[in-house]
Amino acid sequence: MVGDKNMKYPIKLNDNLPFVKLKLIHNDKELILKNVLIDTGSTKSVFKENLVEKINIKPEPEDILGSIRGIGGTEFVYIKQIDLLYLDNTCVRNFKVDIGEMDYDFDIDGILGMDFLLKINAIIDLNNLIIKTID
Amino acid sequence: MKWSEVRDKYPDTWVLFEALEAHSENGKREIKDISILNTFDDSSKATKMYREIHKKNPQRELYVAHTQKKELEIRERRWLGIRI
Repeated sequence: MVGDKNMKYPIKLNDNLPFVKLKLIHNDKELILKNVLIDTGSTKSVFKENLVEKINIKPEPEDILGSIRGIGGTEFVYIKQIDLLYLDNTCVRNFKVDIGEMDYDFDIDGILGMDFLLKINAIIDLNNLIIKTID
Repeated sequence: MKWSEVRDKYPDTWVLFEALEAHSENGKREIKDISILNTFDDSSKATKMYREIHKKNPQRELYVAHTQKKELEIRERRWLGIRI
């Protein structure tokens, strides 16, 4: 993880759920995900397939597959290592995420799970609606 | 069909398949019987067809994979859902 000390990032509430903006850089192409849910109830992070397709992220022959199973059926995902993930100035390199359809009938571009939140030592401050990180 | 038979029958291609028989073991999904829905030269075409079928039938266990993979490793995640 690379970044300035004690950074603060704004949280936007949609239907009382916390969302942040995230930037991906993969194979020198850049993509902004505007509505990424902060989810401390999710072990893994997942991004929406038809958005990451814009920077040419798609299944490759050797990708490991995943299956998300639970309420509402079963969903296919594949696992990608993203070159750079930016939460404003905080950058995480070579981070593995699930890529899936995410057709959940509401505006969501991805989920940042505990894998990412622990990696950046996130402090989720709902009083001030910011995420703080401390290197 | 088993994965090894799929690889023999459809070498070096993308496949969209349905797991007809599968079970979960040690955080992995073990697929015992496979039915091939279609083959593709490009993985984005396969995921497009996946989305069309999955939207209508979310209960069907569908996957996109390339047959150059010797082992079909599928990691299982459990999902309880976001409450809104």
